Amino acid sequence: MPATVKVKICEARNLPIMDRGGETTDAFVEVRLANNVFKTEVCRRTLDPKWDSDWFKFDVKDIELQEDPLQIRIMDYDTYSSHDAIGKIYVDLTNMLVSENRSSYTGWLPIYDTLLGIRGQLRIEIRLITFCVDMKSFWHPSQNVLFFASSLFPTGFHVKRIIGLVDHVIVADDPEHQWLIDKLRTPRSTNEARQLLFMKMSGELRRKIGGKVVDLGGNAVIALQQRIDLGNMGIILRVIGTAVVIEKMRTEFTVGETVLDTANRSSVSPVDRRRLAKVDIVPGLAPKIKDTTLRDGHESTNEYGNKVPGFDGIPENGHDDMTKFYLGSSQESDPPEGRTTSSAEFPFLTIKHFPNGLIKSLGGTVSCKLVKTLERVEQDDINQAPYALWWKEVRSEVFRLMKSIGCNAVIGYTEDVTLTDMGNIQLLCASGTAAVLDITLAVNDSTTEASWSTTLAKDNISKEQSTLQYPEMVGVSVTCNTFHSPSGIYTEHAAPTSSLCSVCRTGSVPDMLLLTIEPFTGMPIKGTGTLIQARVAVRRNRTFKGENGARELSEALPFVEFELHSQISTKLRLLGLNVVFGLKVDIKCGSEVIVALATGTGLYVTALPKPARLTVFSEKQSAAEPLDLQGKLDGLIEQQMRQLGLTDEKEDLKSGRPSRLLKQTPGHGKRRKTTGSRQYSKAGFIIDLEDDSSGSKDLLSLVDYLPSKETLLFGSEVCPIQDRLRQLRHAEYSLTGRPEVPFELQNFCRVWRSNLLNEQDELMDILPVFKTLLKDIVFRARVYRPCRICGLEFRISVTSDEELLVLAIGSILPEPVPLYGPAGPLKALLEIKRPQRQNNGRSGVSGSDENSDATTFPRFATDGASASAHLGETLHRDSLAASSTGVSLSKHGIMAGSRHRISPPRLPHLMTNNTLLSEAPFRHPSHVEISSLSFAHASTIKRYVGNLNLVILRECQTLREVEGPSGFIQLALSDVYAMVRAQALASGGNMILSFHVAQLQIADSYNQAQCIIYVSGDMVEAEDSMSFTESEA
Amino acid sequence: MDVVDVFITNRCYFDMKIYQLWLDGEREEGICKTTLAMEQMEDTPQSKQIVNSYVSDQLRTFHLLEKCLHSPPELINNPVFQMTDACRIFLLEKYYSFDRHYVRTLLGRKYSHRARRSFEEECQKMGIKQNSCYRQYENIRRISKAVVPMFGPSAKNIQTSFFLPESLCWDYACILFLSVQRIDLPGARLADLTFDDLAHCSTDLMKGWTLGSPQGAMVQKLPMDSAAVNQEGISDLRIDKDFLYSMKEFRFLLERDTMESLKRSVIQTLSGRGTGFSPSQELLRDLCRNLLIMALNLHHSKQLKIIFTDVMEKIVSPLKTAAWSRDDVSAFLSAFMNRAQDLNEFKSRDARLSGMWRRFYTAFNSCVLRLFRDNAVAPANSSLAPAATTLPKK
Repeated sequence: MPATVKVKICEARNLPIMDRGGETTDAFVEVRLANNVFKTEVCRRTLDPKWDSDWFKFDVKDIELQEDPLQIRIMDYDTYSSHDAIGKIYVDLTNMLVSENRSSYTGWLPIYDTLLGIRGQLRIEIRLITFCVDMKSFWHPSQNVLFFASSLFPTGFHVKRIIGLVDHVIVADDPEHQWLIDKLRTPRSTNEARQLLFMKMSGELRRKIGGKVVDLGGNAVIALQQRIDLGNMGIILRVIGTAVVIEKMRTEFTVGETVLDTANRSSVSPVDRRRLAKVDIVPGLAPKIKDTTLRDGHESTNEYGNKVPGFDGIPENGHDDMTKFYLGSSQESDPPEGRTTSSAEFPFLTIKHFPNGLIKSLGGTVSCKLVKTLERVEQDDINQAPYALWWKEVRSEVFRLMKSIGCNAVIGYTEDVTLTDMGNIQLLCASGTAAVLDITLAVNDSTTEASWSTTLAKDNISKEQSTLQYPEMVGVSVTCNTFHSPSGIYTEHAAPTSSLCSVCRTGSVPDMLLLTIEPFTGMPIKGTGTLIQARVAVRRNRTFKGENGARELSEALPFVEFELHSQISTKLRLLGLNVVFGLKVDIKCGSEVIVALATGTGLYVTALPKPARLTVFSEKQSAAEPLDLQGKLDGLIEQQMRQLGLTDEKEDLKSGRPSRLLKQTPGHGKRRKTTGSRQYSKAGFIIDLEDDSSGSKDLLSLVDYLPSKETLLFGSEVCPIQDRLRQLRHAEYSLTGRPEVPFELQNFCRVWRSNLLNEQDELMDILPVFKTLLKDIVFRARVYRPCRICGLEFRISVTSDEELLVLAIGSILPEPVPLYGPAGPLKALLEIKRPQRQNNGRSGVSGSDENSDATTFPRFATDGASASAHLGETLHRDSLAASSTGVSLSKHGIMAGSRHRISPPRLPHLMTNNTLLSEAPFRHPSHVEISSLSFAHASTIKRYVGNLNLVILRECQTLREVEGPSGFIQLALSDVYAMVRAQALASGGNMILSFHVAQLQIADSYNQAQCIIYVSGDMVEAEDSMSFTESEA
Repeated sequence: MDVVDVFITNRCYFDMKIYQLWLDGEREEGICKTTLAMEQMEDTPQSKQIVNSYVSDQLRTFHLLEKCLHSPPELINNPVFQMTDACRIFLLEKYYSFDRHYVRTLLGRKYSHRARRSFEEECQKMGIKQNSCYRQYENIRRISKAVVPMFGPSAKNIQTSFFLPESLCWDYACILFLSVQRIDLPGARLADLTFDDLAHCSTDLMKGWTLGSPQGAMVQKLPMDSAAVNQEGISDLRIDKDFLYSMKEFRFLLERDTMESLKRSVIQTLSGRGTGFSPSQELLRDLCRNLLIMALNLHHSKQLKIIFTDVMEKIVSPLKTAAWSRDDVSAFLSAFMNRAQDLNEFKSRDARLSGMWRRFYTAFNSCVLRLFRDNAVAPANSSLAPAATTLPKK
């Protein structure tokens, strides 16, 4: 009997009316965990019942605790008929298992019904009590494994060792497809059965993967990626993550202290420092990371296999400041020490953010696609299910590719599955960045840099002090080594061309790099990055069905990938960029159509050669058109490069060329893509115009949408912005005074669906679709201008009816001032706003309203003098004007104009001593910030309170009443957001990091719709690192 | 299959421009067009698509929000909409704000589901969209349903249950007062009274004559035990009937001699102002009489219903005919109130009378003054100008 869960049902509010006649509800609550059920009394005739029940005690086994969610059902009591369900609440108890969080779980949780959405809230209190002091002998060790969704080393923890990839797949029957039973039960109970199954499977998956991690000697999984695949073969849940050994920093950890600590340490004598490290083992164990001057990547790569150090994180051997990144692999001969237990099968890391210096060299993206067909998998032989084997196959191939370009690890690794033909054809995709990681990162005490974890923290602090609030790349130590090719000799998998590094002139670098990881500090960059997106849609003649369909699909894939690649490289050239960070490739297929999307942040890294100029070439010698196009193109490139801050250095475009190596292979010169309009060649990039001149149109349509200067788009979480630009801005701050940094972050989720085939059954052009979507997002973000949109991620899915569903998620971070451009943009901004304000005073607001404003106003100014009334009136008008220029009042509430340096207009009634209205705190304590980024941009993380892992089903049988599928999805998603926020609050957090609506599936017909939403993230407790400006006012 | 096009954010974002248009009862196409123009976007299919999707997102949100706006406490606790309190208050204020011309036509009626239909034709005349009218009517009905049964100051009640700004609360309190008392307002004589005139008057009456009014409590030494209070509760929506009934005691002033001496005293005061203003004796006598008679008869609920009509007919019209200025009227009314108390007949009676007299005529005179208005000032402006000078006392 390892644990007792105690549950108390306190009260509910805003319950729906269940008894039409009396307009009331007789509510009671049923609490269930595993097989035990408790019920509360019936609270009669009220919509806000109060139970204040006793503590319901559940004695549970550890497996039950991990796999079974606590189910709370709120019911309406009926004397004669059966009780009606109001809704349910599921509580995942696993987060409470992790020792630091074993406090109580309490808060208002939304009562959710799969058909009707949120119906009121219930306040509960849950406590977990464990009896065993000696945890190891009684507890399943996997209970103590921490899970993080963030793809970085979590703040507040020391990463002692990275183990490698862990994965697990489980399969189960889908209750939705058990049609025999399905006929008999209501949609509600089917949905609930499904939802419960998802929760249980998630729990099981966590338990299994936790066991694996423990077996490998780890104690945490970071960058956890969980996916659900639904087909007629059942439900497949799979998860991958990076197993690591982490250690929590002192519990009273705050960022300020740590920095103080490191500062102190540098001032005390070496002896003291050592003692400090011994006494306070935790800081001593901090992984020290060498920031610069690594040996050249070329030499080190040969040794990576057996350079495994002979210590494993225990400080006895004197190296108490060492970190071991041990990356083993099954194919490798085991290291001499024979520490097989601590090596994961593959040296793949799902982490995307890396500390400076850990990456020695980057080899580029490696990926593997595998098409498999499947007959139905029986429930019994889940263990014989081919999935695990398939993935092994894919990973082995990725591993082989990685080796072939001389790397020792794959970082930023992701896996994805596309199902078609009802799940009988599965396309498995795996991709990552091959890299050479520094396995032995040994650093002596004299380095100023503290541990990685504290570096992160320090970053936050320093940013707090400066005016910029966002973790940006800081190009402190310009190092180019990372970009040198990992080995001198290319294989056929490597980039077609390479040249000498333009920073050090010694290493050889590729022309272009595609990376799945996030930008890291210490890169030699120039200008600003921007979103790069390639989109391909291909229609095949045969449907992807059965064995032949699978063959068809696998034949089509290389062409799709090639087209993607060539689009990306063209776009990079058009913008004068040469590296893509945070590349995400999504390939999905319907029954005939393959849609592929690649998104990332393009960047100009100075180590790599400048992209060659695009030249237009036509076989016909009528020179007018190519010349014309060339001119247009040059102008466009020039303009875009200027916008990105790439042009101010007066450097000849061609200067990169002389350094080109001679040994490069002609590479893809011969290969042509399907339309044959572009080719690679050594001399540069040539666009071959075809006779029908569709090439020119094609090319210009490739030009990506570069939003206006006040909005920046990034595909990655980290925004690479050159130092110089930031300094420029700092200079501007010092001129104009420190601007109010808007403390806010907007997380958005854009869902768009349409048929890929038009009425004539032709495949529609998807380029404008995505362009419009991007424009749309920029348009929505206009109220936050100047701002940047980070972590913009597009996920697509294609149904068998060729319906394309696009899910775009990202975070909008407002900027105090426009990001680039010389000083004075503020003035321009204000000037733009002013005429607008004048002309819309009348247009938007009807005359009657204006009248009412004028007349209501004076009454309210009763207690003041008439002079103050006048002042108030102008303020009122101001705020009205601001609201009608489209500046949202909702963001800051009333503080609409603050961004424009107008004194914040307030509604007059808030300025009075009207106690009722003004007593309320400005920022609600129950406000939960949601960020799709892995880090907090303007606040410091105090602690992680749990991992968010939620599958929510929603069904609607009256689609017309909710304004069609759009209304339905809006309802479903906003309910999900609400539930996620409530869960974070109940766990004691106030922010969700790396929040992702990871999956969204919609099925609808006539008047019915159903959707499954899977969300994940990390719940944290964060602290505002800056006081909220309005609260002072 | 239909197109899905949704944009969800963590912090609720409401476009106040679109919100206003929606409140005005504008249709989706119209809003799209206006938004397109306001955002200064070029007229391409692409930007139309963007704006359309934006507008329909907003409208869907407003539809969802509307349910919560109907019961503001629910809005405060609603987990689905994450927004600042200031934003909530702003949304509520906008939602519950109304068109004064339209609501003027609704004053003094009973607000029920059934009565709704007949008004919808009127709204066409006013040039207001039907949806907007419906919202305004329903708002009044909702507030009336919730607040009328409550005790205590109604403006405060409205504020606590609907979280509206104070000025709006007072407006609604007036609407409720006029409705509860069933004050008759139609008719040619009252046609040019604006909402604000009536609201002002009812505020005066609520503050002076009702059970919840401060004077009421003060003068009557808090009639907590009286039967009327127990039945109806202390609310400023309910007229203090005992008080109006006891006004009958001033019948003695109607006696010929008393009236005469009162008139003389008033004339003395008025001419003492030194403005050369000399009204006719006849008129003054009639006015004094009318003022007094109205006070004596108001305890009949029929009389109370037509109070504004009476004031207009019996007091304001003769004054207008005589072309009095506003100052003159004001001087006359205060003279009437003050001089009467100086009369010997008055002084010889119960000391309580003086308090009642003041309580009655402070409110009444203020009403008369407001209803008189000054026609010298442009009538169109009247809703604004006098409101600023004569404010409800707090």
